Amino acid sequence: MINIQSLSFSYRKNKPLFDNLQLRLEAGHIYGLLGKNGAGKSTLLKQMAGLLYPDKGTCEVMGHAAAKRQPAFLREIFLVPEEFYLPRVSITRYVNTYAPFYPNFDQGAFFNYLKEFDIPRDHMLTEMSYGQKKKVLISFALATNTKVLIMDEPTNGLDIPSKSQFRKVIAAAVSEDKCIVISTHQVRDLDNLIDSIVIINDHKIIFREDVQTVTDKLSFKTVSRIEESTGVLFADSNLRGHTIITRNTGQEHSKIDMELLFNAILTNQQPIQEIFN
Amino acid sequence: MQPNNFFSLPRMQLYLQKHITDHYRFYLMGMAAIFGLSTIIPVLMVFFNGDAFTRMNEITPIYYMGLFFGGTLLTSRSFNELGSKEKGIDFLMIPASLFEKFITVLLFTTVGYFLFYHLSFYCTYKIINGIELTLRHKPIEQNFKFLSDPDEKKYIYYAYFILQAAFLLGATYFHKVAFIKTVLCIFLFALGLYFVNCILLTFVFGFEKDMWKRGMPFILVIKQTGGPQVWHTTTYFIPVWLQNIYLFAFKFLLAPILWTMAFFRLKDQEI
Repeated sequence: MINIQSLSFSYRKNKPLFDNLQLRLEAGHIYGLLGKNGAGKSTLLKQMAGLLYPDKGTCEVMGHAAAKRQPAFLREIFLVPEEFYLPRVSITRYVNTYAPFYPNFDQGAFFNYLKEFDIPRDHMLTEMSYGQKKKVLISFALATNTKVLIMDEPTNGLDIPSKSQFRKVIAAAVSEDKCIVISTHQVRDLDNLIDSIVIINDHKIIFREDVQTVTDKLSFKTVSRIEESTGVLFADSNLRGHTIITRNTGQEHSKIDMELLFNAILTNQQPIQEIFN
Repeated sequence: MQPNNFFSLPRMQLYLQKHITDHYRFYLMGMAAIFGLSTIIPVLMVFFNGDAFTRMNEITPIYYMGLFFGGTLLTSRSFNELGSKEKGIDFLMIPASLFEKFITVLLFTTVGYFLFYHLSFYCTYKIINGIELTLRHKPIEQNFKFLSDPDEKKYIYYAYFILQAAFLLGATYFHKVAFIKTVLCIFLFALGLYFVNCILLTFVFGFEKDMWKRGMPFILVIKQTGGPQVWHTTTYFIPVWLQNIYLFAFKFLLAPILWTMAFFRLKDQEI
């Protein structure tokens, strides 16, 4: 669905942001694009949305060259940017104006999402807080039923209850023909939501696995004494003890700790990657 | 079904609707400001000096200033969205073709302003005429024809469309303070042409006769001989066939070329 081949891109000459980047994302998945601030997440999403042009290589989405920004492509992709614009109109007027561009827009679903987020449907967009506006945009994005949905830091500005509402509506919206890409540096926000992990660091994709494969190969545990555990790949101490990652040799099932995995890959990349290769 | 990726009338209508939703406040305020300014200033002038506008040709400078200044100011703001990341993403991601987006802007700025301004100035004229009738019991004397007497007056309207196209191209390059930056670019471009002309004249006529500083660039050059009491002036025009090419380009090519450049420049925009 999203096919990035040999992509090179730089904002300034001699300072490449991406060099020969390869990435293939398929329909039916929710991808979590994780990375530190400035890692290149937003730039990668913009490449997918056709907002930036590759210096070299290609970025194809549903067979369209993203940079051409043709209507056939644009009506099947929706980007929820970190900072967004909404016109100074009511929600109803917004929907009446923007929805006809999206052939699969589901108005009923839109108002259901608004209800889920506790947003009154008769409000003016200008009278809303940043978080409320973001919820309107997320609701609209989901209701467009586009095949590709890209979200850049969608949980920024959302309060704690809204974050769990967000996870709920996204999980309900996924289908076999949709590809959802969510970028964040707040990895805990995507717990129980994403089914594939893409980690970007130093402008490279350093990890790309689905959650099932990760939990098949790695084990996430909390132990009171690290010394009692063998083959610890990464450990993080907290008040409850130590959360550790080990190789999953006994085919036991553990719940993935996204933040732990993210930190492990950034600090101890090689041994973990060897397990997956 | 695969949509037409270049132009679709229903999609264009949707985009026009979206454009109005986003900009109607600005357009309404702009219209009120143009009508207000072009009416209040002459009305005040009539009140302070009853004879301010007794003839049509006394009003026309205000008409032309409003047409050119207001029009270019509006057009220079055409792609302001691209100066803001949020609005730029909204502009580029909305599922309409770039051609539809471009034509919409062209319709609202170049064509829309032209139509609105004439309607507005007609009302202004009627108001001034009404005041003159009340104060002086005489209507404004109709001594000015906009398209004839001489016929070359119609070139003012060609110039309007060329300037509009230049400012539209400027708007694709500059997203902030576009008006001033475009004026500066036009000035620098004209200055550049003048220098090219000077160099060409120096090559053709030599430096000592000062031909490079006499004439109208690329059109005519004036040669002066004799002096110091009696001077003989000879004017060299470019050939008629070249004049006709200039005229054709001025009337039919310049504006479309600038619009085409603006369109392709818009295509290159990144956020």
